[in-house]
Amino acid sequence: MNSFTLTRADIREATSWGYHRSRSLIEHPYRLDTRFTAAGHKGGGRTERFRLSDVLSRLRPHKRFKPEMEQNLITADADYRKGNMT
Amino acid sequence: MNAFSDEWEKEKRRQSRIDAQMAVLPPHQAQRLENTKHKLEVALARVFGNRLDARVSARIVEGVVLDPACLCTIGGGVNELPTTQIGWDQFALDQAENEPLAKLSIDASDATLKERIRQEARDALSGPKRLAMARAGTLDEHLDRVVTEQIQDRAGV
Repeated sequence: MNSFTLTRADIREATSWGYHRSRSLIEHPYRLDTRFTAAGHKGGGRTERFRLSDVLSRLRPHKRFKPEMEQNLITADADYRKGNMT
Repeated sequence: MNAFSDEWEKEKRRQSRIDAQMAVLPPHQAQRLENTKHKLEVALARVFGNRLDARVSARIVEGVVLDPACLCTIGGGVNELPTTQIGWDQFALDQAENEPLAKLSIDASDATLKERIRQEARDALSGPKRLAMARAGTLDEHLDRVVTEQIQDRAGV
Protein backbone atom coordinates (compact mmCIF):
# COMPACT_ATOMS: atom_id res chain seq x y z
CA MET A 1 0.00 0.00 0.00
CA ASN A 2 1.32 3.43 -0.94
CA SER A 3 1.49 5.46 2.25
CA PHE A 4 2.64 8.72 0.62
CA THR A 5 -0.70 10.34 0.00
CA LEU A 6 -0.97 13.95 1.13
CA THR A 7 0.11 16.93 -0.94
CA ARG A 8 0.94 20.35 0.46
CA ALA A 9 -2.36 21.55 -0.98
CA ASP A 10 -4.22 18.79 0.90
CA ILE A 11 -2.56 19.87 4.13
CA ARG A 12 -3.41 23.51 3.55
CA GLU A 13 -6.98 22.69 2.59
CA ALA A 14 -7.49 20.39 5.59
CA THR A 15 -6.13 22.90 8.07
CA SER A 16 -7.11 26.21 6.38
CA TRP A 17 -3.62 27.42 7.27
CA GLY A 18 -1.60 29.65 5.05
CA TYR A 19 1.38 28.74 2.91
CA HIS A 20 4.03 29.84 5.38
CA ARG A 21 2.69 28.05 8.44
CA SER A 22 2.18 24.77 6.60
CA ARG A 23 5.60 25.05 4.98
CA SER A 24 7.26 25.75 8.35
CA LEU A 25 5.61 22.70 9.88
CA ILE A 26 6.63 20.48 6.98
CA GLU A 27 10.22 21.71 6.85
CA HIS A 28 11.09 22.15 10.55
CA PRO A 29 12.73 20.85 12.68
CA TYR A 30 13.57 18.51 9.79
CA ARG A 31 11.92 17.96 6.44
CA LEU A 32 9.26 15.24 6.40
CA ASP A 33 9.87 12.21 4.19
CA THR A 34 8.41 12.73 0.75
CA ARG A 35 7.85 10.96 -2.56
CA PHE A 36 7.02 12.36 -5.94
CA THR A 37 4.36 10.76 -8.09
CA ALA A 38 5.74 9.68 -11.47
CA ALA A 39 5.52 12.15 -14.31
CA GLY A 40 2.85 11.50 -16.91
CA HIS A 41 3.64 10.89 -20.59
CA LYS A 42 3.18 14.59 -21.25
CA GLY A 43 5.50 15.50 -18.42
CA GLY A 44 4.57 17.26 -15.22
CA GLY A 45 2.62 15.49 -12.51
CA ARG A 46 5.58 15.36 -10.14
CA THR A 47 3.45 16.06 -7.11
CA GLU A 48 5.17 15.92 -3.76
CA ARG A 49 3.35 13.67 -1.28
CA PHE A 50 3.72 13.09 2.46
CA ARG A 51 2.67 10.27 4.77
CA LEU A 52 -0.45 10.71 6.91
CA SER A 53 1.37 9.34 9.98
CA ASP A 54 4.21 11.88 9.60
CA VAL A 55 1.85 14.77 8.98
CA LEU A 56 -0.36 13.92 11.97
CA SER A 57 2.55 13.56 14.35
CA ARG A 58 3.99 16.88 13.14
CA LEU A 59 0.74 18.86 13.16
CA ARG A 60 -0.98 17.53 16.30
CA PRO A 61 1.23 19.31 18.85
CA HIS A 62 0.54 22.69 17.20
CA LYS A 63 -1.59 24.94 19.38
CA ARG A 64 -4.02 25.77 16.56
CA PHE A 65 -4.55 22.18 15.48
CA LYS A 66 -8.17 21.03 15.85
CA PRO A 67 -9.77 17.56 15.72
CA GLU A 68 -11.72 18.42 12.57
CA MET A 69 -8.45 19.12 10.80
CA GLU A 70 -7.39 15.57 11.63
CA GLN A 71 -10.61 14.27 10.10
CA ASN A 72 -9.99 16.32 6.95
CA LEU A 73 -6.47 14.92 6.64
CA ILE A 74 -7.71 11.36 7.14
CA THR A 75 -10.38 11.89 4.50
CA ALA A 76 -7.88 13.31 2.01
CA ASP A 77 -5.57 10.35 2.64
CA ALA A 78 -8.37 7.80 2.22
CA ASP A 79 -9.60 9.51 -0.96
CA TYR A 80 -6.17 9.32 -2.55
CA ARG A 81 -5.64 5.67 -1.58
CA LYS A 82 -9.07 4.64 -2.86
CA GLY A 83 -8.50 6.52 -6.10
CA ASN A 84 -5.16 4.79 -6.54
CA MET A 85 -6.42 1.28 -5.84
CA THR A 86 -8.64 1.15 -8.93
CA MET B 1 29.35 -1.44 5.77
CA ASN B 2 27.43 1.12 3.73
CA ALA B 3 24.44 -1.14 3.30
CA PHE B 4 24.48 -1.82 7.01
CA SER B 5 24.47 1.87 7.93
CA ASP B 6 21.63 2.48 5.44
CA GLU B 7 19.60 -0.24 7.13
CA TRP B 8 20.50 1.16 10.51
CA GLU B 9 19.38 4.68 9.48
CA LYS B 10 16.15 3.30 8.04
CA GLU B 11 15.47 1.42 11.26
CA LYS B 12 16.14 4.52 13.36
CA ARG B 13 13.79 6.58 11.20
CA ARG B 14 11.07 3.94 11.53
CA GLN B 15 11.41 3.87 15.30
CA SER B 16 11.34 7.66 15.58
CA ARG B 17 8.20 7.78 13.42
CA ILE B 18 6.53 5.27 15.73
CA ASP B 19 7.65 7.20 18.82
CA ALA B 20 6.46 10.50 17.36
CA GLN B 21 3.09 8.99 16.53
CA MET B 22 2.66 7.46 19.99
CA ALA B 23 3.70 10.70 21.71
CA VAL B 24 0.89 12.74 20.18
CA LEU B 25 -1.86 10.12 20.08
CA PRO B 26 -4.93 11.25 22.08
CA PRO B 27 -5.98 8.82 24.86
CA HIS B 28 -9.19 7.62 23.17
CA GLN B 29 -7.25 6.85 20.00
CA ALA B 30 -4.56 5.09 22.02
CA GLN B 31 -7.27 2.84 23.43
CA ARG B 32 -8.53 2.01 19.91
CA LEU B 33 -4.95 1.37 18.85
CA GLU B 34 -4.47 -1.10 21.71
CA ASN B 35 -7.58 -3.00 20.57
CA THR B 36 -6.27 -3.08 17.01
CA LYS B 37 -2.86 -4.28 18.15
CA HIS B 38 -4.45 -7.03 20.21
CA LYS B 39 -6.52 -8.25 17.24
CA LEU B 40 -3.48 -8.20 14.97
CA GLU B 41 -1.41 -10.10 17.51
CA VAL B 42 -4.08 -12.79 17.76
CA ALA B 43 -4.38 -12.96 13.97
CA LEU B 44 -0.59 -13.32 13.58
CA ALA B 45 -0.57 -16.13 16.15
CA ARG B 46 -3.49 -17.83 14.38
CA VAL B 47 -1.92 -17.61 10.92
CA PHE B 48 1.74 -18.31 11.70
CA GLY B 49 1.76 -19.96 15.14
CA ASN B 50 5.30 -20.47 16.38
CA ARG B 51 6.74 -20.25 12.86
CA LEU B 52 7.00 -16.49 13.38
CA ASP B 53 9.50 -15.35 15.98
CA ALA B 54 7.91 -13.50 18.92
CA ARG B 55 10.22 -10.51 18.40
CA VAL B 56 9.27 -10.21 14.73
CA SER B 57 5.61 -10.52 15.65
CA ALA B 58 6.01 -7.74 18.24
CA ARG B 59 7.73 -5.60 15.62
CA ILE B 60 4.85 -6.01 13.16
CA VAL B 61 2.31 -5.22 15.89
CA GLU B 62 4.25 -2.13 16.96
CA GLY B 63 4.52 -0.87 13.37
CA VAL B 64 0.79 -1.05 12.70
CA VAL B 65 0.46 2.51 14.04
CA LEU B 66 2.11 3.70 10.80
CA ASP B 67 -0.39 1.90 8.59
CA PRO B 68 -2.74 4.43 6.90
CA ALA B 69 -5.77 2.12 7.21
CA CYS B 70 -5.14 1.78 10.95
CA LEU B 71 -4.67 5.54 11.36
CA CYS B 72 -7.87 6.18 9.45
CA THR B 73 -9.81 3.79 11.67
CA ILE B 74 -8.48 4.87 15.03
CA GLY B 75 -8.77 8.52 14.01
CA GLY B 76 -12.53 8.13 13.66
CA GLY B 77 -12.70 7.92 9.85
CA VAL B 78 -14.18 5.05 7.86
CA ASN B 79 -13.35 1.68 9.41
CA GLU B 80 -10.82 0.30 6.95
CA LEU B 81 -9.69 -2.53 9.21
CA PRO B 82 -11.18 -6.01 8.78
CA THR B 83 -14.29 -6.97 10.72
CA THR B 84 -14.15 -10.75 10.28
CA GLN B 85 -11.68 -13.41 11.32
CA ILE B 86 -10.79 -14.20 7.70
CA GLY B 87 -10.24 -10.51 7.05
CA TRP B 88 -7.91 -10.22 10.04
CA ASP B 89 -5.97 -13.28 8.88
CA GLN B 90 -5.50 -11.68 5.47
CA PHE B 91 -4.50 -8.39 7.08
CA ALA B 92 -1.92 -10.23 9.23
CA LEU B 93 -0.57 -11.97 6.10
CA ASP B 94 -0.26 -8.63 4.30
CA GLN B 95 1.53 -7.05 7.25
CA ALA B 96 3.94 -10.00 7.45
CA GLU B 97 4.62 -9.81 3.70
CA ASN B 98 5.65 -6.18 4.09
CA GLU B 99 8.10 -7.08 6.85
CA PRO B 100 11.35 -8.59 5.46
CA LEU B 101 12.29 -10.05 8.86
CA ALA B 102 9.03 -12.03 8.95
CA LYS B 103 9.93 -13.91 5.77
CA LEU B 104 13.38 -14.71 7.13
CA SER B 105 11.91 -15.91 10.43
CA ILE B 106 9.34 -18.17 8.73
CA ASP B 107 11.92 -19.60 6.31
CA ALA B 108 14.33 -20.30 9.18
CA SER B 109 11.61 -22.06 11.21
CA ASP B 110 10.62 -24.15 8.21
CA ALA B 111 14.22 -25.09 7.42
CA THR B 112 14.91 -26.12 11.05
CA LEU B 113 11.73 -28.19 11.17
CA LYS B 114 12.51 -29.96 7.88
CA GLU B 115 16.03 -30.76 9.02
CA ARG B 116 14.73 -32.21 12.31
CA ILE B 117 12.13 -34.42 10.57
CA ARG B 118 14.73 -35.58 8.08
CA GLN B 119 17.16 -36.49 10.85
CA GLU B 120 14.46 -38.39 12.77
CA ALA B 121 13.46 -40.33 9.64
CA ARG B 122 17.10 -41.21 8.98
CA ASP B 123 17.57 -42.41 12.59
CA ALA B 124 14.38 -44.49 12.37
CA LEU B 125 15.92 -46.63 9.60
CA SER B 126 18.05 -49.55 10.71
CA GLY B 127 21.73 -49.49 9.73
CA PRO B 128 21.72 -52.19 7.02
CA LYS B 129 18.50 -50.88 5.50
CA ARG B 130 19.86 -47.32 5.41
CA LEU B 131 23.05 -48.61 3.79
CA ALA B 132 21.09 -50.60 1.22
CA MET B 133 18.92 -47.61 0.35
CA ALA B 134 21.95 -45.35 0.10
CA ARG B 135 23.63 -47.83 -2.29
CA ALA B 136 20.49 -48.06 -4.37
CA GLY B 137 20.27 -44.24 -4.44
CA THR B 138 16.77 -44.16 -2.94
CA LEU B 139 17.61 -42.84 0.54
CA ASP B 140 17.27 -39.13 -0.30
CA GLU B 141 14.04 -39.75 -2.17
CA HIS B 142 12.63 -41.66 0.84
CA LEU B 143 13.65 -38.94 3.30
CA ASP B 144 12.17 -36.20 1.09
CA ARG B 145 8.90 -38.12 0.91
CA VAL B 146 8.76 -38.52 4.72
CA VAL B 147 9.45 -34.78 5.20
CA THR B 148 6.72 -33.83 2.72
CA GLU B 149 4.20 -36.19 4.33
CA GLN B 150 4.91 -34.96 7.85
CA ILE B 151 4.75 -31.27 6.83
CA GLN B 152 1.40 -31.94 5.14
CA ASP B 153 0.15 -33.82 8.21
CA ARG B 154 1.09 -30.90 10.46
CA ALA B 155 -0.67 -28.45 8.16
CA GLY B 156 -3.74 -30.71 8.11
CA VAL B 157 -3.67 -31.13 4.31
